[in-house]
Amino acid sequence: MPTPTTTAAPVTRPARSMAGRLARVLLGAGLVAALAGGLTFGAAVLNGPSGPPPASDAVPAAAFEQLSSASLAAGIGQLQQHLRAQPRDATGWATLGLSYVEQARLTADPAYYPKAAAALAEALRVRPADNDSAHAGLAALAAARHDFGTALREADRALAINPFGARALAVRIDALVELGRYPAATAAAGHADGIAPGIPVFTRLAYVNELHGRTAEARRVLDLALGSADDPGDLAYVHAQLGELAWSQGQVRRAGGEFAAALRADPGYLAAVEGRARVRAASGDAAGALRDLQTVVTRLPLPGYLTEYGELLTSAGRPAEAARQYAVARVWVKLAKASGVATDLETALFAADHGDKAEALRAARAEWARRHSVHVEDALAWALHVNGGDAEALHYARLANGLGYRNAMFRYHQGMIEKALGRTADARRDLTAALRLNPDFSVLHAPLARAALTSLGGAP
Amino acid sequence: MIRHVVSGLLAGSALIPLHPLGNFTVNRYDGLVAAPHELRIDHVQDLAEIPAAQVLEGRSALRGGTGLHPWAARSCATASRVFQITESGRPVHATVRTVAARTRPGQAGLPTLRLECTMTAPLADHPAGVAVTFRDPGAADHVGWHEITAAGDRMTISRASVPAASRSARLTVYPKDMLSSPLDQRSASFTVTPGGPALAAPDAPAGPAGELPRGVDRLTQSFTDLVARRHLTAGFALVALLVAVVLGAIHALAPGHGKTIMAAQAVSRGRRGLRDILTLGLTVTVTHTLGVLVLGLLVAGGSSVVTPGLFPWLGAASGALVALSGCMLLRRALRPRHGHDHGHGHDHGHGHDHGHGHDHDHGHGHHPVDVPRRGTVVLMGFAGGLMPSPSAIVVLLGALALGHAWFGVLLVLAYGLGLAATLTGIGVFITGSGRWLAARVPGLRNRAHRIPARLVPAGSAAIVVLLGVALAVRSLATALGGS
Amino acid sequence: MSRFAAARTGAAVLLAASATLIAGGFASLAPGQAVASSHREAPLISGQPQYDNTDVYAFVSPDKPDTTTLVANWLPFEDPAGGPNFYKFATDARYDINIDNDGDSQIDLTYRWTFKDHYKSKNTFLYNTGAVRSLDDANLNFSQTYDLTLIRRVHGTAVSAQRLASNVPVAPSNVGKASMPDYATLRAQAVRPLASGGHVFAGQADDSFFLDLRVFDLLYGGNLSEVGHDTLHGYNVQTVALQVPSKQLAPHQPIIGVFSATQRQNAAGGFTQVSRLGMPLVNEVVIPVKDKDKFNASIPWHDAQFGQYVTNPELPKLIQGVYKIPAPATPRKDLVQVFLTGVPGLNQPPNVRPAEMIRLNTSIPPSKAPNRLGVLAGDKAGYPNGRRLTDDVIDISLQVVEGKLLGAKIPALGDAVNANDKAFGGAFPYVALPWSGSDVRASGSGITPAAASMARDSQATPLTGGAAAAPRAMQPKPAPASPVLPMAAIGVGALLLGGSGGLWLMRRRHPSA
Repeated sequence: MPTPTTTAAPVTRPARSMAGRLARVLLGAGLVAALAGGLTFGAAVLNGPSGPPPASDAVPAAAFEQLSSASLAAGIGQLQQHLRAQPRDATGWATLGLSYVEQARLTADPAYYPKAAAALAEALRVRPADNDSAHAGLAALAAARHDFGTALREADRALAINPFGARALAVRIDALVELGRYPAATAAAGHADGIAPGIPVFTRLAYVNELHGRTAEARRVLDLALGSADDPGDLAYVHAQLGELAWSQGQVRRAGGEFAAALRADPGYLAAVEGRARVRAASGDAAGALRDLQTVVTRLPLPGYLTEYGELLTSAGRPAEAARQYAVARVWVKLAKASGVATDLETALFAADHGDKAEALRAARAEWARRHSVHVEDALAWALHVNGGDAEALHYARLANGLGYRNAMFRYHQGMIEKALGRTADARRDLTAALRLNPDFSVLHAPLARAALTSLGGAP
Repeated sequence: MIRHVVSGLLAGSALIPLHPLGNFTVNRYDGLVAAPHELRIDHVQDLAEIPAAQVLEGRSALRGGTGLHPWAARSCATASRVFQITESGRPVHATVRTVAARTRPGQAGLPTLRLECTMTAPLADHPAGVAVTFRDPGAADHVGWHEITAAGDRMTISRASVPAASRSARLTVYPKDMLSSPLDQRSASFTVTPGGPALAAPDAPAGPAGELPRGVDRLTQSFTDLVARRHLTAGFALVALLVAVVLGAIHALAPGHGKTIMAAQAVSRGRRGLRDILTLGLTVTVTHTLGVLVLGLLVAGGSSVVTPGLFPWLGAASGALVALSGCMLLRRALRPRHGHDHGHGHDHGHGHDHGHGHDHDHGHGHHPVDVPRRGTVVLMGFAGGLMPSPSAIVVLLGALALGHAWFGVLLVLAYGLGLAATLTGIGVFITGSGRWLAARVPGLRNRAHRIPARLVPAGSAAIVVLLGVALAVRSLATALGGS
Repeated sequence: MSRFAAARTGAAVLLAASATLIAGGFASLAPGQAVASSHREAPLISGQPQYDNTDVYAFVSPDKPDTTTLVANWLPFEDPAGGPNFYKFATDARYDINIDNDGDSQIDLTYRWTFKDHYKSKNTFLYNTGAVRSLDDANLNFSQTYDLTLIRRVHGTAVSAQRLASNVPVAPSNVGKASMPDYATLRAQAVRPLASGGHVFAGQADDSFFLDLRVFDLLYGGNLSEVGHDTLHGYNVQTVALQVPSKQLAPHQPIIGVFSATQRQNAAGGFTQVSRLGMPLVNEVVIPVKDKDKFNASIPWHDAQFGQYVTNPELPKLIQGVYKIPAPATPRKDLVQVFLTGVPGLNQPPNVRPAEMIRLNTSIPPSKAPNRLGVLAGDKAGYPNGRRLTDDVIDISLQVVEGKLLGAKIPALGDAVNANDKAFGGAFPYVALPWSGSDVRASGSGITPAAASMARDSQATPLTGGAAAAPRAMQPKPAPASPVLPMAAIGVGALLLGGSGGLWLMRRRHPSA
């Protein structure tokens, strides 16, 4: 059979066919047009109408720099009015953005975050270069949203422009602490103290010291902060921190005094109300503790508060109401999962103790992927423990306690993990240490710790 | 590079905006209306997911509550009890008149609660005017938007410390202005004098921007819920993608997307048009997917561009494009041809199939008039896909809202594939059935010979033009007249 | 590279670009959701104005021409009705007035005030428990005292410290008519003579600065069409004042440099300088915002680092943009003289090293009829030769910056606020008595400019402020933060995606080409 010679030869098509070329030309033209249009549009949006004078670098007199927590709402109102009249005040926009972030912290109202982002974006639009206050504001906003990587980057950007900026220095400490970079955080806190001493830096320096177990130094620095505080918000915060410090070392009466002082300065300060609830529970006033926690979860039903309230209700013999609190806390878990947001560690710990254990481990691992702080290590250790991965859990528990942080819950977690692994002596040591630090560290877990210790032959 | 791209997409999906004022807020609105002899209070509370859960959990535990009425009645009673209303310095008390509560879907499929009470308080009539003060201490209990308005119904309000109209349209829309703080009005004062215009009945509150047209069926809704509640494992993702393909295939049977155009094309070209049908199907898919993505993102971005009124305009544009491509087809079909008509001859039962093996169509090299064919096909596919299915947008939005943005895009792609499969299948079916008919019904072949060579493509092109015009006219009618 | 491969690369690039655009659009569309806040969120804004100095004055005492008076103010915007805590000096700070009396920009003398709190009764935190008729009245529950120390330095380093006064009571906050019916007596009691010669005072006073803060709208393209209201009207400050024989300040030559500084205790146990002030408005107008903190922490020895902001100032360019007054040619040697060295023949010390300070020539006698425009009006005893309480530094600075000292013909720029809300006294400490808590209800002061302003009554022209006829500078409204750009990015990305898909299709059809 002769090889076919006709059909196999492909017909050479002239220049890939005019159809292809035409279509390609059309596509190319369309792309070019799209790019050109997009860029023009973008340029128009970015540049805005050209006003005659360039935005100045100088800053007005002290008026808007003197915002303090008490005057924050009024100051914000005046800033808004000022910016309506003078929209090219870049520093004003940056201050407004930072004020919104502060207002969100004080009122726990997250509606301020998008406004802060918009105000800071406007600040950068008006003055894109050398705008350290806008970058410091962005850093604070990122930190508030638990995006600590961005917070660190923006803080460094702000400090590259203005190395003396107090706010950027403070946020930088926050970011380093939450990322788990403790030596850098200590250095940053010391450096900031030398440049911009004040309540923002002192409170953060005290926290760094507390995380390393230097509680006496932490108290000294907090007292220094207290000495210069006269704004009610600042007073309440510092007293509450002193209360937490005392509580963490089992000094129940001193803690009660500090929380009471915080509430004298600001009667609605929920962190102090919750602290007082803990003190009341430890002092035997269960009814008062329940009332306080009821107030807290009504106003601010965050997962940590709901968990605490639920555990207190259980210990008071009201399991049905406790179950209701846990159900609401589970809603938080669902929301966090659905929105893909940086999970609160409190949610993970709640899930480990009262919810879906597998979900707790997933959340803890996701947070571990983001940062390596002692709180994450402890949460991951506990999540692994409730899922049976005790060998791995011990590794993380050791990390969590390795920094020196005197936290009874952390020691208790390690003790229970060691008990599950059969390391009796270590478990006895850690459970004893936890109970000695604070015998009432948790309504749910302190009795469990005592029971575990007794079963191991130790004396609580 | 791909990993960076994918991680970029993933990172973008991490932080998506949701409930505008947070998940644990309770927003309050008190609409005061001064009418002759009474002060009407329209009290609205909007509970976000967490406070709503606190209520709903408690209600189920009580075992007695059917529906929300007991809670609603209790809440309205408590609210009205704590109001501090004075009229000319004398305290007055508000009485609850009506109570209503309902749940609305919020984030992640969780319910939010909306409570609406009306209360009345007696108001004395004084020709010189009555000074009224109103305080709502309940606003201090929760974080949230606190708003008070004061208006007059056949009475005149003066020296009011609060506006007359609600900035949030009674807690349905929240302004995003960066130069305004969330409202925290807890008290109001004003003077009331008799006489004045009657209060107009408030317009039905406009739905949130970016509302989709009706027709988002239960199937899609349940699909969105399904995606919401499950954790995204590989197996589940596969199942969801398959379901999306099926959904797309089903929706291809709905009006639009150029099925009739497809059919007309298939009839005109026969076997040789298989490639064109594939191209057509692919182009429809790509255009449709892109259209859905763009629109979905516009809606997600809260742009007020996307209103239900947008879709008729899109339909009109689509119809115009179809008509244009039909004209191009018609022009080509009516052009006088030199020599043999390859396109037509092959449809009559030649042995070999020239459709495959070579990527080109016979006769193109000889007939310069066939040049714009590929472009025409693409244009028709573009026109066909220009009308994005609302259900596809809903799927994308659902996935966006739940944080799985990239998965949403994949679902829309799968949806488009299902769409393309159905369209291509229809085309192939028609082509095949034409051949089957031609093979089974000998008479048809004979009769087909009598049809002039140019009539079939010209006829189908004419049909395409008519269809396009009809689509455009219908959509324009809706766009200009209806909505 | 074959055309196919090239095209494949091109398509891949397009694909990547489009995907990046889309991802970028996604990312930038997301404002983000707030997380449940943790309980470790520390304060970030902590306005602690007690460490912020607001003004420094240096002038030859008009009633005692052989002495020099130095006045420094801290803690601005004290609301007279600011109970229940009222206002006080910080007790962990050092309030310094520094003197350079040889022109080498190093501090030679430091007068340092340090304060202590006293509560008569620890059971109450009330400021006073009844009418207060003298500084040691039992009803005055809360009071402060201070020590005044003179530190002598050589080459900037302290060599001796001499306690000039100990435990001197501070004049309290003027709570109100009922609590302090005769505040003038309390003020008089707070003025202390010094054994070494002179007098000292510390306490609350009316804010001696007078300006319309809206003048700073110039910095953002605004104009002076709405000025004339003293923004500081009705506010008090904490004032520290010292009157000493001029020979003690300037033993060898009569010209001194003066600036104030605040040092604050830090956690490490040392002190950090957190505020510095010499010539008025330097930190507000001359130093750009990114260097403001650096300036506050710096010492005059290093002021060369800020020299460019003086030789090449921005304010004239802004004014040129708004009012079309041509900015004088740079480098501005006249501004260097005014702000950094002193004007030769007026207040420039011999062998001066440029540094930012108020330069006062203590040998020029005080003027009989002080003119608020100081040297610009021929009053050699006024600003910028030292600074008197009555000198209108805003108007003078505006005109000097526009080149008045170079002889330029410029209109009378200003803020239409020409005098303080209260008249100054004729004797030390010269600052006016503070507004009382009871005054507030009558005066209605506030940071926000009031509707009624003096400008409506004045004869001011648009440039001198006040008239509504002035053309408003163009102030474009800020575009609302819109998702337009991310939308455009996504749209372009989508088109690119489609384009690359189309190209890929083309390539598939014609692989041989």
